[in-house]
Amino acid sequence: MSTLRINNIEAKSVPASPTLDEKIKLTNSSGDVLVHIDGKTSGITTIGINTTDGNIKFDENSNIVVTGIVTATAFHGDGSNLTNLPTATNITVADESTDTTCFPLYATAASGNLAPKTGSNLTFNSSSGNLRTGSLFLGQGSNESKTQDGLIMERNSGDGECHITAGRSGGNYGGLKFFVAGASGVTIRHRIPYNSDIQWFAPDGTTEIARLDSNRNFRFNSGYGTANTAYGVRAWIAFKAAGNANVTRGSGNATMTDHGTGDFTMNFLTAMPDTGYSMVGSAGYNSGQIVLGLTAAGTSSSPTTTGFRFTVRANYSNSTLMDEEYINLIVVR
Amino acid sequence: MKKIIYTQENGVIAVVHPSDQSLLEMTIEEIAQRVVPVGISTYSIVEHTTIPADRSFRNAWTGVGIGTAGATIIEDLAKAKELHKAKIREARADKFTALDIEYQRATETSADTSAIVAKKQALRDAPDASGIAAATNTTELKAQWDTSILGSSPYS
Repeated sequence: MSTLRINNIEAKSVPASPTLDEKIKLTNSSGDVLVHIDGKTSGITTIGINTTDGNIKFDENSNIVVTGIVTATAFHGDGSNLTNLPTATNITVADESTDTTCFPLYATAASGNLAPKTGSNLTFNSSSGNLRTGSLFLGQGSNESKTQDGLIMERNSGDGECHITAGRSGGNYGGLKFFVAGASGVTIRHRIPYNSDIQWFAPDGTTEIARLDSNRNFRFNSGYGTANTAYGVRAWIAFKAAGNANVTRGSGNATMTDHGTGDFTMNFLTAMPDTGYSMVGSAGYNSGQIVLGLTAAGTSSSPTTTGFRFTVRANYSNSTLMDEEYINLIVVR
Repeated sequence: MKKIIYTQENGVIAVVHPSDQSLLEMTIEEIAQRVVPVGISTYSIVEHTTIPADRSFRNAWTGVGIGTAGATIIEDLAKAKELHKAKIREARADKFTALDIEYQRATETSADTSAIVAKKQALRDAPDASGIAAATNTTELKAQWDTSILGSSPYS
């Protein structure tokens, strides 16, 4: 093996034949090409490594074109003109709990090569863990309409109140059920079906404790065996007939008219639905008793939806009316 | 506390007492619109101090100036006298029964009945006592109660 040391090797075309390419070719002892440099007259210089083919090309703009795979320790530059890059399937994430205003990423389709996006109306406080959004739709509807199948929770800007909606599509009936885990497993405890009933259930999830139904009846099972309608006191009043007969206490829809000695009317400011109500009363301190629907003059006075007349008479004399110290009445319907 | 007063068909004043709670839910005017009977065209809203505290002659209460803000309630003396007489009749009823029995027993033993007869006559005359007619106000009228024959006064 010999070594040739030369200060300068210049391959230069003959000026008389400018179409010829300047070339340098290095071969091994077998004649195999090691390096082949081909200075094309068109201005592109190619370099062949182990081949005379130009698998590395340099043009006059200093661009390099490599035919084959380029592997390097590092690449530099912004890479903005790179094309046909493979899609990243994994990114490195880190646990971070300090930024108070973050924007969760989402895409506009379920799959595919998509741009990651954020929405200013969906934020996440990584410090507190709060996820914030204008409304939350739990369902499979195509939009947030309350006529879609799903549970919609929102703060409504119209009335400023929070709405929880059991949405249903196609005019079907919706409803809400509330389940709680307990000794009997996860059982239903409360239910609001489409007809506006509100039901309470025992921890077994089947025994109905109470129901406020759409007919405005309140039913509860307080030893009744089933939830039966409870009839509330629709009006009550308590007054002293002696003195100036001031009404001391009473419900909001009750007033009393003093017609004369022992002769009164209980008025309902909100009319009863009918006259089928029941009145219970007591008159005390002396020996008075309440007589319903009898005026002082002894004529009858039937209960009406707006009230009923009653007298307080002495036990010892039906004709003697009394202004008792304590007169109390309740009306149940 | 406000009250509503109106004159009934029998001339006696009626007093509407709203409950404390009802006044929190409605105005006194709204209550009046609901409780004053159909056919009663005028009423007044007055303070409770307008209502007499003494109900001895309640059925003699009569309105003055009903329909105005300055309405008041007075006692009709003629009606009060009739009420007073009714109380006398009520009080003497049991006493007549007791005297009848006493008279019967005296008759059975041929005892003197003149005292019994005198007591019964006094009871009969009690409603017509001259002091009742002469009374010029209900205070004087209340005093016309002879406890010696009628027992304790209903006004005491």
